[in-house]
This record gives sequence, C-alpha cells and structure tokens, in this order.
Amino acid sequence: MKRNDFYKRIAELFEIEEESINEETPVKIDSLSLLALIVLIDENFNKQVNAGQLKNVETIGALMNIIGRDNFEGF
Amino acid sequence: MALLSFENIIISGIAVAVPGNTIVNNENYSGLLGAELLYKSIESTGVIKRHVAPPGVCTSDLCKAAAEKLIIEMSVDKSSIDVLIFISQTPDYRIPATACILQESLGLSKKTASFDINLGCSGYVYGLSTAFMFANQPGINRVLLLVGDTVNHFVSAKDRSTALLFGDAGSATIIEKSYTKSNSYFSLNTDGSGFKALNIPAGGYRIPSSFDTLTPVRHDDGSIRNLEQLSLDGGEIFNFSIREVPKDISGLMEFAGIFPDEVDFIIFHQANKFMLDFISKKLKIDKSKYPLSLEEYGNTSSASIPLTIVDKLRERLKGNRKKIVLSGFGVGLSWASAIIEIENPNIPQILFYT
Repeated sequence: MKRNDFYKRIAELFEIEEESINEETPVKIDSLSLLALIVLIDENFNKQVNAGQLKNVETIGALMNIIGRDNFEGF
Repeated sequence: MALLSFENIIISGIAVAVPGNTIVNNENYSGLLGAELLYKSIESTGVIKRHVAPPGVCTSDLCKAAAEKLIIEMSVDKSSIDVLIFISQTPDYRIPATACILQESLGLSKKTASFDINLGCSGYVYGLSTAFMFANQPGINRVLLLVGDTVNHFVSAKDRSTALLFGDAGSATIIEKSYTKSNSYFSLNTDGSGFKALNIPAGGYRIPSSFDTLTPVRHDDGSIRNLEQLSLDGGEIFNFSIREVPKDISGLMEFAGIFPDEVDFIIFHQANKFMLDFISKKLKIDKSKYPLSLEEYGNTSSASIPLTIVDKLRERLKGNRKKIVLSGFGVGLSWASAIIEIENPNIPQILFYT
C-alpha cells in the first residue's frame, strides 16, 4: 500500500487532518478504533495483527512497524 | 478434524423465552463511556435494547418456559423425549447438572438421558450436533435441546466492554427423525490458547471464591469489575472471529458440496454488528441473508442463534423448506458451523417471561 493512501485511511479512522500526518503523529487507540484498525489492516494488507500489540501503539510510525515496513511502497 | 454429516434428522420446533424486563442503551450510560463513545459504540455493536433477567431468574427458568410452550404447541408426548441436553454457562447450581432439575420440573420420564454441556457462543451448534447424534440412534425418538444464558448475572455494570452488550434468553429445540430427505453437516473446532479473551477468572476451583475475588478492581480502561465478573478482550475476539469463522463456513460448504448461492440464510451468533458485517463482507454474503436480532435483544450468548431464527425467520419458514447455515463462535475459544435443511418447523412467538 502506498504511504499516502495509508495516511488517508488513518486520517478518516482517527478523524485527524490528513495533511498533518507523519510518522510522529500520535494516535490513541480505543476499543472502537481498534476494531476498525484490524479491519483496515486485514483488508489492505491481508494480514492479521495481534490486538494486544495494536492497543499499545502511540504513533503512526509504530503502527507502520507492526504492519511491517515491507508492506509500504513509496508515496 | 471434527466434521459430521447426517441424513434425515431435523429440527421440528424451536421456541425462545426472554425476560420481560428490558434495558435501553441510552444516555444513562454516558457516565460510563462519555457521550461520544457511547453513541459510536451503540452504532458499532448494533445493540439498542436488551432483555435482562432480574436476580433470581435463571437460564433454566427461561428454557423451561420455552420448552413447555413448544411441547404444548407441537402436542409432543413427553414420554417420546428420550434425551434432554442443557447447554449454558449459567447453571442453577454448581452441583448438580441443571438438566437433572429440568427433567423433573418438565415432567419428563426417568428414562430420559439428561446432562449439561458448558459452552457459550458456539453452544447451540455444538448442542445441535450432539442432539443429531442421539436422534440418529434407532432407539431415540426425540431430543430436547435447551440452550441459553443469563450473562447479565455476571457482567459488571461498570465495565466498558461488556455493560451494554448482553441480553438474556433461553431456547428449546426439538430434534427428531424425518420422513423426507434432509441432509445436515457440522464442523466443530477449538483453540484453548485464547481462553483468557473471554473469562471469569475466579469462583471455580483454580481461584476459589473469596473476599478478594469479590472486591471491585479498577482496570486501565477505567472499567470496574471483580474477578468473578466477565472479562472480555474485544480486540482478540474480533481478530479470532474474522480469522476463523469465514474459513470454517467455506470449509464446511466444500465438505458438504454446497455452493454459497444454494444457502437461503446464514444465522450468526449475534456477537456484534460491526463484526458480523465484516465477516459477511469477507464471505461475500448479502445483508438480506443474515438477519440480526441483536438490535432488540443484544448479544444473547448461546441463545442468539435460536433467538434470531425465531425472531426473524418465523414467518419465512412457514410452509417453506430452507437451507440455513448456522455459525457460533467465541468463548473457549470455540467455534462451530452447521448447514441444515429446515422445513415448516413449529415456531411459537417469542415468550416474555415475568
């Protein structure tokens, strides 16, 4: 998935400004955004990530580490 | 691999009873979740209203009311019921099995085989498979399957994950031999590595009940519950469900040689709407094929499949023969799927127990 497309989906999900997103952008994952995030990752990366791991994520960059850097191609 | 198939065994009737007492998920809960999360959460789970058993009303009371109604409506000779199976996580007592008490209170013969099975979300499908095995025996006339839960008895009203989710219900299903051709298939599965995702840690014999286990504890998310109340890890259950359920249903269809188009309805355990919508999307199932009862009744644990059949298919099954997929998944972790054919079953209206 392209990094910009990913940022776009993340912006929708967490209701934050797409333009302001970078790897340091903080995210707060509550019970509902957790489920939406699991769906986003399943649909776009065909990957199932550990829910416990996701809950502790604090930045967009950390989220991308969990998804796996190899899964992001360019901008 | 637990794959089963049966010929000419059918469900001839299903009845459900719910407590008359209802709770609406409204602004009263904004103190617990905050107004914004409250409405988002109601939209996501889909649960608007729930029937909740008051203290002292047990699952067996609801199942008994449903069974009595069904026995009268179908004019069943009680002596033809050779097996009574009670499936629940909310028994009357720790000892003995609730099925024994129900055998007597329903006025069934002493020659009835009666026993309990402890399963939740997957319990109805597991129970049906067991009932079908008995009904397949030449010496067995009818099996009475009683399945339900009163989960609200062990949910903390101050737990953000569980307080708004569950409804209480009890069901009764009669299984017998059929004189017309009818095929059914079951797949039963388990992954105990996830048992903590839905768990009441104390009150059994691993951690016996004590003053400590009854002391309320505040958790990281702000939820307050004690060790004898239900703990639910929604993320883990969600992950597990979207991983295993679509695969199991597709696998069973392949085993049965049935194409998705041939299926009239899929009745899911009513876990939560967001999850069911996503599982259905993965399976490419149209919304009209998977009716939901959780809006009005909540997640009713093991009773959610029969409740959804009674609530949503009662009229559509009248005089009709339908091929239905049943899918139960959750606590255990345990999951099971079935493909059954059902033709003009006897389905009384939902009973309100007071």
